[in-house]
Amino acid sequence: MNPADTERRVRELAAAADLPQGFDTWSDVLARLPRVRRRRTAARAAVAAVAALAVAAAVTVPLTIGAPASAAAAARQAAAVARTGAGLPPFELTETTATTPVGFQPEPPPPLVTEHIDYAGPARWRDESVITEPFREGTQTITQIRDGSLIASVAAGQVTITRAGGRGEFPSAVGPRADLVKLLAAGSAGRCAPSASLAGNGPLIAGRPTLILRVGSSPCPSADIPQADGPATFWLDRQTYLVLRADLHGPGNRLAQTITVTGLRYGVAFPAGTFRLPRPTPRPAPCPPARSLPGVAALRSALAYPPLLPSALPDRLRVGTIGSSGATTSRCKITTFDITYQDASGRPAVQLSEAPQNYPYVRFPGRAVTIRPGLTGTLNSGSGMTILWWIQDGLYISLQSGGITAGVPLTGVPTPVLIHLAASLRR
Amino acid sequence: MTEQGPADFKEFVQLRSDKLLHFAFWMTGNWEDAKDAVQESLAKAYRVWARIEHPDAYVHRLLVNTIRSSYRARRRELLVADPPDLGLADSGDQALTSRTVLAGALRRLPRRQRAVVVLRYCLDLPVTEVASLLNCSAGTVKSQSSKALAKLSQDPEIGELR
Repeated sequence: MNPADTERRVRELAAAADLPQGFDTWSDVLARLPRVRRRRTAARAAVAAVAALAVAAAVTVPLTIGAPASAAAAARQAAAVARTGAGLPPFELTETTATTPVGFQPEPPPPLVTEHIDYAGPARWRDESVITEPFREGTQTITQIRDGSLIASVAAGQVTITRAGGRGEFPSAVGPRADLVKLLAAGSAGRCAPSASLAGNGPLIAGRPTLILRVGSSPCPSADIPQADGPATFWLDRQTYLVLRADLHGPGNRLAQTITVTGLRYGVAFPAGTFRLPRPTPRPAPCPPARSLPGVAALRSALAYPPLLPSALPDRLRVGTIGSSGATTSRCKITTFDITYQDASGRPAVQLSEAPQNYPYVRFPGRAVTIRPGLTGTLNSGSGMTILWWIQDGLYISLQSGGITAGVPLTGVPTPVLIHLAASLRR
Repeated sequence: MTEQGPADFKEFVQLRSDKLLHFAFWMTGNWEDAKDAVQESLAKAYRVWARIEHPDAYVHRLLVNTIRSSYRARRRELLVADPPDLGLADSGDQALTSRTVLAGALRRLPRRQRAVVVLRYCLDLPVTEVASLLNCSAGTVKSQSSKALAKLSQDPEIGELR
């Protein structure tokens, strides 16, 4: 193209772009003007006020971070605060995160997490989370403490120390942080940025005045975090932009996650030792690598718990291979195993897997089926594969029929046979 | 000066908002940054409003500088794990497609050339006015336009949708 053609083309594109008219910029500009005036006044009075400010600084918490005038700027500020607490004074916060599954997720987030956070700075915090596990699997407490470049994690009596990442992000006991993902998207530019608008002042939350930020559905939805795909409303601390409440919607505009701060106190002086890292649990000696086991007797001897095994094998099934994922206790007892049962012609047909109930196996969604009175499982069928899983005696148990597991195709058995097999498991 | 600023400042904001926002949109490529930059520039202009002789030119120069500063600041931020997709929107909407194509091509120009192209061809201002707004000579506007058009003529997306 020659320059004249290019010029014509640019003019055509600009005309065809049909940019919207009738913006009301005045109210947004007006929102910035008082700050300008305050700054000028403060500058004039600065010399006279130095002594007074020095005294005030000792007793007053500097809260105001700034007042972004646009929704995108507010979202960026809120994201920065949510990510590392950047710019916040020391604070103490209690919040709950309630999540409803709204789409398939490989690891569904726990339905309820209550967190208590003591925050002295990006590299000095303590987060104690009480997690209600999905599928009524009880609760567990995880404490994470950061002091400088080290983070201690305390869970189930085990202490592990790891080196912190450079940006000092808050930990997340909730799973992927849909609120942060949403705020980052709202503050970004480009095709995948959702719409964002400031909807004025909201009610007091945890005693703090709030500002309402509304974010639209994501133009580029991602099934990984469906809680971040639909519209969201954030109630931000009007002074610090800390998220005090967030209602996040998933596909179909269904409420997927609610984050609510129930207690917040800024300017907290934490007692000595709050951020002291506990001693790490001694590292166990390395265990031998995962191996296949020659038979059920060897499995019983290698396993950390008595397995639940079929008391009778239906449909002429017989035990085939026995393997383990390699997860072990500190005494090198294996904690997970699977047994592949073969059909009459010797082909793999069904696989039984067991693990402690808190082991992060995928909980496939499906319909509830009664295995036997008092024992209910979840049956997931599709794509030529059926998975029945349930929790029994503190174990996660699954039976897979059909499909492929570890590269081996399973011929499968009818679903009633699978349920019958499940009902026959005994110690 | 009233509590809410001088009356002529308010009038200027109300009359010029669309033009300024359109200019900022083509300069930044997205509405949120454009709104941010325009509001920030107008707030800065307010501080010295009484001393400004040519508000249009002053505010446009402020806007160019504000956008440049925000780019510098943004380079230090890590806002998203994956950079926003600036590719061609998969949309049947001709206006959106034109916006995306042109904004993408403009982003690949140096800022000064971009400002000249936006004012001269997107906002259809005469050379003398562009020179006045950017505080440079008419010759500079022409030479910058020529260089920018030469670059744009090599841009594959500009000719793609003919």
